[in-house]
This record gives sequence, structure tokens and C-alpha cells, in this order.
Amino acid sequence: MSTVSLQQVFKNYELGKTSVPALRGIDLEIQEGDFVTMAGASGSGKSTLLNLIGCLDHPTTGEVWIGDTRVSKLDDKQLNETRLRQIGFVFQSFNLIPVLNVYENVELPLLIMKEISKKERKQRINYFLKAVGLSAFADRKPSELSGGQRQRVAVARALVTKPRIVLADEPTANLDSKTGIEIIDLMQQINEHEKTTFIFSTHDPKVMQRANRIFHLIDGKIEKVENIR
Amino acid sequence: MSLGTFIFLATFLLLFFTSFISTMHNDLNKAISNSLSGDIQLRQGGTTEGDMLSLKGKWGQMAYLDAKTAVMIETLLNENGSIESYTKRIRNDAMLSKGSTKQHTMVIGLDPNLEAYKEAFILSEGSYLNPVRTNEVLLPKNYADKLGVKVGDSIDLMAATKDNQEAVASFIVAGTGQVDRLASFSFYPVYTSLQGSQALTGFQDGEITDFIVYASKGKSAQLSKDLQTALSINGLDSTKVKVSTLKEMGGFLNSIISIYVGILYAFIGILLVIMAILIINLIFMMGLERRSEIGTLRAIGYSRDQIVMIFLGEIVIITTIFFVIGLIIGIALILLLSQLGIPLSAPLDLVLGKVFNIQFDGSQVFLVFIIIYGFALVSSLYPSIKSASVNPAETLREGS
Repeated sequence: MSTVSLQQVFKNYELGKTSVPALRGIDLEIQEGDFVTMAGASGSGKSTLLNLIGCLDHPTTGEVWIGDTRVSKLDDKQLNETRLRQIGFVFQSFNLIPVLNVYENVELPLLIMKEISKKERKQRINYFLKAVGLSAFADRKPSELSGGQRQRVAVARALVTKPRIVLADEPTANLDSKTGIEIIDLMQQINEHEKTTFIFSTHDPKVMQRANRIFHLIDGKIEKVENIR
Repeated sequence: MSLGTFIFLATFLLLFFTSFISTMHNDLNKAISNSLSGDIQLRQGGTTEGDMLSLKGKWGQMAYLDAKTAVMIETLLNENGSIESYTKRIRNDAMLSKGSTKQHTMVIGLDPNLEAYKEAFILSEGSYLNPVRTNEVLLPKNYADKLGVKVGDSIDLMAATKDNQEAVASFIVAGTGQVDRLASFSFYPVYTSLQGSQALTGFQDGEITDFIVYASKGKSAQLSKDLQTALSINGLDSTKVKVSTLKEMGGFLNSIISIYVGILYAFIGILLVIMAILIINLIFMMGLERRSEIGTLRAIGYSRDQIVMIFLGEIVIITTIFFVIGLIIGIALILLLSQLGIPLSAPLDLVLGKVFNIQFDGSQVFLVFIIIYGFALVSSLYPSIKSASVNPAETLREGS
């Protein structure tokens, strides 16, 4: 069974009386442990596609499946649960909470997972901070970190719930190319080690080459699927 | 202005105003009690509460306690341990007369040794009633000025006796002044001795209009019940002797106090409405500033309700910190002012006295706590829900 499956997904944005199509009939399957990228120019529909897979938005028509869950049939509460337990997010602008330190930022999603004990919470945070190489920075505030370090915190926060899928929307866009590659390499290592499915978007050719598969989007359609490895 | 600053100001002002109102209310009640009503009145059954508080002393029919009843009541009063002091009184409607100038008034004859009336009647000139001299009067200063009399002058008082006969008696002005805090109610009583009043009512020895009783602090209601029970056991039920507390007597004096208090509470109400509007506005602003943060929290799995709880939790923390600061500074200032006193001039002194000693009332802290927390939480609920209801995809799109 696919980890992510989209069937004939259309997404239109209503701007006043005008309907602007963002996605036009997307069909895709992503398997468990995949490391894939959505590539395309700005406005090609990458972020919209990630938002739909991430249960942040509803398709206008079509079906989105996460495992055996038909996402388009879920209510708000179930969508929250799905995002919390099955999906991790890494954002272009890092989206860390500025008043919280690194440890507390990583801890955020675990605070609402009542079944996780305090002890396990601590263990998980320390494990993922170590995995992203930030154990020594746990007490720092985001403002005291470099862009690359901030994105590493965001990666740790996305992974700490042990999600099925990590979605990263242009994770390297606000980083220099060297740091960008480091972040992708980090994600790849975790993908190999933890078997977590990674789906990220980029328009940087160097970055997209790190993926196993590339979905090329043009004007809301998948024009080509490129298998790298 | 930040939310914290506003909570601090609201706490401080509320504490100050509620203490101000409480002090004013207590002072006015005390002034009425000391000058006119006592804490409890005992009088002939069948009279209305209003009759006994009427400032003009309008007695449709002279109601009084006969000597035998008065003796029985006095025995009961002497046996009760909750009574601080009491006095027999004879009140009557009368006309002050000096030459061709006349002034209608209420004459209150009482025991000149009673301390309460001395606390209420602030002397401008002269002295209080001398227990030995029975033909002295204390005149309100404005009456003395109108009639052109000074301390030591004689003045005539005319009244209708209980048998509806005309009575005229001459008195010496012992002192002039006014009843503290009650000038704005046009309350201008003339005080004299019991014997002095007897001459104006035609009462025989032992006959009086009423007793007024001063109870130990906080015991007035219970004392009233105990006295009614004791009187009833002695055959003096409410048809024969009426027992009323100051609160029960009501009358327009209490209504006027309620109006003053109402005006001040209306002012507090306006303050609270402004506070609510500002809090709503501030929370909306906080929501806007933290739109990206809220979007992130929604994206990583937080529900709208959980984000609302985070907002409310922050508001409770901010409210608690600044409430405590406002409370400490407010109490400190009130205690300082209660020591120093605030000198007042006309027209405020008519209601608040020449020097207003604001008193800190601990029970007001709870009221202020309820109001501040209630308003802070209620007024932040809607903007918190609204702010937490953002579409995460939309906010993340704005942030990227």
C-alpha cells in the first residue's frame, strides 16, 4: 500500500469571482521510505500539493490518501490528529517559536501527545537533537542560531513525533547553497536510518538531484516523473 | 499600551474606587446612624419606616411610647450585652422663631451625654449640650445665620403638642454647626435635651417617641432579632413596639446614598467597558502579530481549542502578575491616604466630609479579583477563538 496516494486531485483558489486553478488533475503514489521531491518553478503548485498531502487544505475535487486513510473525509479534529501523528513539517522560513529555546521548540508537538511520558519525551528530544547535531545548542533561542541550525531544529521538531511522512516546503530556499545541501543530506540520512518518507519541494536543481524520485510540476500538472536511483 | 499595563491600571483604579465607594457608603451610614437613626430604633407599633427617617418630622399623628412601655424596653436594653449605647428621644416637628423670621425644622431631644450625636454634629461655634442645662439647643449654622442668632442668644421654638395644643418654649443657643457629610441631603436637625423636647410635645415624664440603640460592630441585625424576641416574650409584639435596623428603615436617605454609589459604580462600569474593548483589541493585535506562530502550531497538530487555551493561559499569567502589582501598589496608596487624609472643599465636603480618610476594605480585593479576571477572560475569549481559527495553509503561504 502506498504511503501517499493522490487521485485526480484538482485545487482551485477563489479570488473574488475568479477561480484560479492551482492543481489540475494530479495522480501520484509515494511509497514508504521514499525520498522524493516536487520540482517546479514558482507558482507551479508545489506548495499547494504539499499542503494537500499535509492535511492543511482540502482538494476542490479528487482524493488524497495517507496510508489507508481517506483524508478528504476527515473532520477538523481527525485532521489535527493526522497532522500530529503521521506528518512532520519543515518550512521554508523555519517557523520556530522565537520565545522558546531549541529544546522547547522540539518539544512542542510532544506536549499534546498525552500518551508520551515526560521521560520518553526527554529521551526523544535528546535523540533527535543529537541526530541533527544540536545537542550543545538546546538552551539557545532561535535568534542565537544560524539559518542552517534553525532548519536543523525544524527537522528535529518534524521528526520527534516519529511521523510516517515529513513534508518540507522549500527547506533550502532561505539557506546558502552549501547549508542547503547539508540540510538535504541530513534529511536523507534520517530517511535511510529511520525509514521515514520525505517529500520536499524545491526549484534548485542541485537539491532536487539528491532525491530518489522527482515529480516535475508545471502549471499545476505533473509533467514528468524522474527516477534518480 | 500593553495588556499588562492595562490590567495593572484597571486593578489599581478598581481597588481605589471600590474602597472609595465603600468608605463613602460606610461614612454616610455612620453619619445617619449617629445623627438620626441609630443602628436600631424602637418605637410605637404601627408607625411606618419612612415616618422615623423623615427629615422634616412629619407626624400625621403623634406616635409615642408610654412611660410603662418605655421602662420595660429600657430594662430589656440594659440586660443586653450587644448594646454599646442607647438613648431615649423625643422628636417633634417645630418652628424656629426669632422676631419675624421663622424656620421649619425637626427637633430631636436626647440624652446630652450621648457621644454619637457629638460625632455627627460638627461644631462651628459654641459647645455641645450641657446635661445640666435643659433649655439649650444646637442649631444648624445656616439656620442660625438666617435667623440672625449667635451662641448664647435665645430663640423660640413653636410646636403642636400630642394633644394638638400650641406650645412655645424659649431656648439658649449652645452651639452652631452642621451634621457631618449630610448637608447635601438638606438635613438640618435641631438638638436639645429630652426635657427641652418635652415642653414642645406636652409629654409627661417617661413618655418618649423612640429609643435609638447603637450595637456592637456587625451585631445590629442579630440584636434587632433578639430584641424583637425579648419584647414579644414580655407582651410587646410588633403591633405595640416596632423594631427596625438602619437598613430596614431605608427611606430616601438610603436611596440618595444608593444614587451616589450607583453613579460611582456606573463610572466603574464605563472603566470596565473600556477595559473590555482594549483587551479585545489587544488580543486581536496579538493574534495578528502571532498569525505565523498560530499557523505553525495548527500545522504541527494543535487544535483550535488548544491554541485558545494557550492564549488564555498567557492572559491568566499576565493578568496574575499585573493584578498582584496593581493590588500591592493600590493597597499601599490607600493605606497611605488613610493615614494622611484627603482635605476636601465644597461641594465634595458636603458628602465626603472636610477630610476624607479612605479606608482599605479587604473584602473589596475579592470583588476586584472577580471583576478583573472575569473581564480579562471573557473579553479575551472571542478574539482568542477568532485568532486561533486561522487557516494554517493560508498563514504558512503568507509567511513563505
